[in-house]
Amino acid sequence: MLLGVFFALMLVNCSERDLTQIQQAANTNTLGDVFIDGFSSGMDWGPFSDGYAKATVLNSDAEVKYSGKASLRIDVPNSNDPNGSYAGGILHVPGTGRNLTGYDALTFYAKASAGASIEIGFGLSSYGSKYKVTINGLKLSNSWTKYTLPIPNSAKLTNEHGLLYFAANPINGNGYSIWLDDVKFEKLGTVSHPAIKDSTITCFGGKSTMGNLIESFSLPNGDIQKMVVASSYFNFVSNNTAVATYANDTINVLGAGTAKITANEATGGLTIKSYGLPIAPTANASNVISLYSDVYTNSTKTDIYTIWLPYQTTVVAEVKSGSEKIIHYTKFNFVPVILTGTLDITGMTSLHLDIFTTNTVIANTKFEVQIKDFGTNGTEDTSDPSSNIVVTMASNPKFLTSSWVSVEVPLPSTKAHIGWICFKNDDVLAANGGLTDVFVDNVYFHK
Amino acid sequence: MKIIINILVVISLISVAFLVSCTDSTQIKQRSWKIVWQDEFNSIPADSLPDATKWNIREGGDGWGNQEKEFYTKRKKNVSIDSVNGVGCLKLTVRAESYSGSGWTSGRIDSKGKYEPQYGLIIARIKLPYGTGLWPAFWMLGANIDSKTWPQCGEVDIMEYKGQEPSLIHGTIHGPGYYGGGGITQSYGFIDMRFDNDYHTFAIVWTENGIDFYVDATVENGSLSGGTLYRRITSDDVSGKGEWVFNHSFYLLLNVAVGGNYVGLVPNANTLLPQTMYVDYVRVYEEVK
Repeated sequence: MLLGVFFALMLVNCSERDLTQIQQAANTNTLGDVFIDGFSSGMDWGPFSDGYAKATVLNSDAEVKYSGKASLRIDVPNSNDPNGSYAGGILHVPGTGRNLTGYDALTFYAKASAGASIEIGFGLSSYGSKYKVTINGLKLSNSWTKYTLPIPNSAKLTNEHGLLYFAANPINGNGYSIWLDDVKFEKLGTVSHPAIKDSTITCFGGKSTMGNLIESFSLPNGDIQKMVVASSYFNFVSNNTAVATYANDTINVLGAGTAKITANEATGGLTIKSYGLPIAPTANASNVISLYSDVYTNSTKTDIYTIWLPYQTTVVAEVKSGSEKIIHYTKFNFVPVILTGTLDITGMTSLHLDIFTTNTVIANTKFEVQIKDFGTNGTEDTSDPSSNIVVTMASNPKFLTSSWVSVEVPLPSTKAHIGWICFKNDDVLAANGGLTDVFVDNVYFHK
Repeated sequence: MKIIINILVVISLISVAFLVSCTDSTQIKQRSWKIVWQDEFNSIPADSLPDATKWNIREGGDGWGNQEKEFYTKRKKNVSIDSVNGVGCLKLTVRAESYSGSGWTSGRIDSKGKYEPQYGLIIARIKLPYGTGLWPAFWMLGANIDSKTWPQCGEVDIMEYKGQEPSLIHGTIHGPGYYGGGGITQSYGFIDMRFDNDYHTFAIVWTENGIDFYVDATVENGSLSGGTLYRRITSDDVSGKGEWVFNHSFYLLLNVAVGGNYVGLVPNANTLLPQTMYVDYVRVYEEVK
């Protein structure tokens, strides 16, 4: 598999934006050529600086070429080559970048002396990867073939430094050669039907970055070219800003509902199905002993992962919705929250928790909460259940499908040595479905 | 269209003349046109079937004489009138589905027995589908086809297109002595554009002596203007080959075939189905003499 890309240099994003605004008025460097018979004007070669890429892999080849005087040959090393075990790097323009807004694709001819599958693209340089486009697994043959990488939105490329990058590994440890020729940005007019692969995110809320997208274009020969592209190319908008907004590559999910994030530059987009976060707790922190919450400091005694063998089927996981962490119980029958070494909640009057399920909540669906105080000697006496508190949550009107419900659980009469709390599915109803999949958040004692 | 397949099809693609204008403008006489028949495909309600007083909706999957792979149905999934982005249009849609022994369904309509013009300016405004193995067409067959059979009845392909070559269309006539791979044909295309991104018009001006093929011309105030006359075919072009059989009435056809001898390929992993041919209108004009 291909190695990641590492760079010695990084440029801060806001500095590039300032530079772009200045350049936009003045960038007359519209040359689209990358390699025709030699390096195009202003271009340099920079091998990847991860310590594995061999620096000296490029050569001009005057004999094997597609057209003109020469092609660019890449000599992929053997994997045991002491100077580097793969060929990878960028053809880049330092200083003033290229104004590529007048083009719609990077095209090149390529062939290889072995059946190679390489990573290739553009938009990567020491200035960053804001407009990176990649084909993973481009298969080369032993006869010259033209390849086309459409630009998702060339209006963004006012000052691009990264004209071409590639990474090619040896095949079964053996090196081979790749030839590239007539590498240039072109205005084809015939790359069309840009489409972002549709995807759906189901979440509760919070912020996340859009990340890279899979986009496909129709090429003039009937082929579909799939690429991984940076989300910065697209002017995304949300069709429901009460549910989610989009700005600066960040999706901010604000409330429950569905939003579709789309852009004019391509069909398809991202659907966000948000259930909404539980209502943020407002109790004063000095009145709270918290077990699991993102708002309060949680007790260090809280352990949500202990499994009560042999009968517990519940699987415990945590999900992150933006920056909010939520416990997710699946195959739910019962599950403890252990308070290691016992917890003193003297003075507290209630246990608060928020629960959420997508299961169908039928009449009398129950969610039981048990709280055990171990008594003055601080150890559990399983023969005496008298300190348990069992709370039954009736289904209606408090407990709903796909809606957060806040619950207040009364506490045992003795509170100085709370050893565990336990959430339990209803035995009778579990056989008929009951609850199997529950999210829990904001678990805290308060007064 | 029916092509007898013992001829190796060597379409004149290699010798395509892009942007060729084969007559100079002094030879094109200015004519005046008045509309005599049209379908604007603006039916209300939306998602209805084409006007039955004008069109027959064809069904079947026997290859239609060309080893085509589709099964044409009468379902609205394949043939419907709808408003798309504010344009009332006919939609002929190819779908990948198992249907009656075929792997694809599609739509085909014609005006046989309902409207059969002889001569005139015949024009359609169409947005083409794209993808390997699709073969949309706007064409005509001689109305005497049941008695004269093909190719004696004559065939005029006002526009044909191969889905894997979205920058190219072809205009062709078939008749006795010049049919199938031997049809009189001309390709027209763009170096830097495709036909599937937008609506284009495809038209013929058909008189007793010849047929002129146009792309992107329109009728404004009774005159044909704009676009390109990319081929004039006259009865002289068939002398020595066979008979000129375009002096009787023809009926109109619109369809999207899948696979078959002409397009040469079937849809593959790169053909994103469903695909639709959108027809904004079909209009027929007679010359005002």
